[in-house]
Amino acid sequence: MTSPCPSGAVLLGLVDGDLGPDEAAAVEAHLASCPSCRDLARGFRADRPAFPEPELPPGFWASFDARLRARLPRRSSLLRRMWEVRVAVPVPALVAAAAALILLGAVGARSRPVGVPGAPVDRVVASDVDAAHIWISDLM
Amino acid sequence: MGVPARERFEQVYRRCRARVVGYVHLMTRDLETAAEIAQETFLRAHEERSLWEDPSSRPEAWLFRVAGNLARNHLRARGRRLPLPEPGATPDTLDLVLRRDDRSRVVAGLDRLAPSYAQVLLMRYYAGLSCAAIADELGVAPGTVMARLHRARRLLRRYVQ
Repeated sequence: MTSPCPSGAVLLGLVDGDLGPDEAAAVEAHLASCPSCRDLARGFRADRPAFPEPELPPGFWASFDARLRARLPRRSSLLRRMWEVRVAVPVPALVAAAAALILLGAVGARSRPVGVPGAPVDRVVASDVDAAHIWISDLM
Repeated sequence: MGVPARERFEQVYRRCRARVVGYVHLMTRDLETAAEIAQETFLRAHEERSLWEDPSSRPEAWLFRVAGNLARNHLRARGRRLPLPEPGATPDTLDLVLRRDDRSRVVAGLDRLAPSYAQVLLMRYYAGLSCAAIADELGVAPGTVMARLHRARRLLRRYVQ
């Protein structure tokens, strides 16, 4: 006695490879003894929809890529470099290095005569410390 | 986004960008709109960190669901699916153009399908997603996707003939 005919959706699932192994085996067994379901399955195989691709103008993908790149959130070059360093260097080592940098900056600032106007070294040290803070906040 | 996640995004982007543009183009029939919607889809995907950081995620299915929804919203807002005929063209002229070859007829048939049928049809046979992935992404049972595919194919065959 043959099993009841599966639904069209299940037959299509078999043809498309969307059934689990047990269900697929059961439907295959049914097909072996049911010519009308075999015909239906054959029709599904022959009738698989095919859709046209769009005709693209020359340079389409270069322009598409460039537009997307310009719209993606951008990091500053400093942060981007740090992002890459983050992978290569362990975080504790970077934290220690930044702390040392801050300490050196503080010692250096204290060792210079106070009240010398416009000393360029102060500005350099201050900007390094700021950069270290940015680095650390990005790493945390 | 960490380096592995960024690399995963870039791989999926390279692999899927043409299919996403083609998929939206089939739905909207307008290349500029398709490119814009595909851009928006990839921008949203880029922000969706779990897609790239969670190894069990299915970014491809996510892309086609979001692109499909954006395309459907666009069509709803525009209130029509086919481009308007050229001035002076009669409906018969347009019909002849659409029937120029089988693939054009398939595309014309797509327009007559309910959006939920067109969406699963394109996700399965154009985007190449599995039935399980489509079901996951749409939040329905795999059997529902198979039933929609079956119905959609029957209707499409009828519309194309």
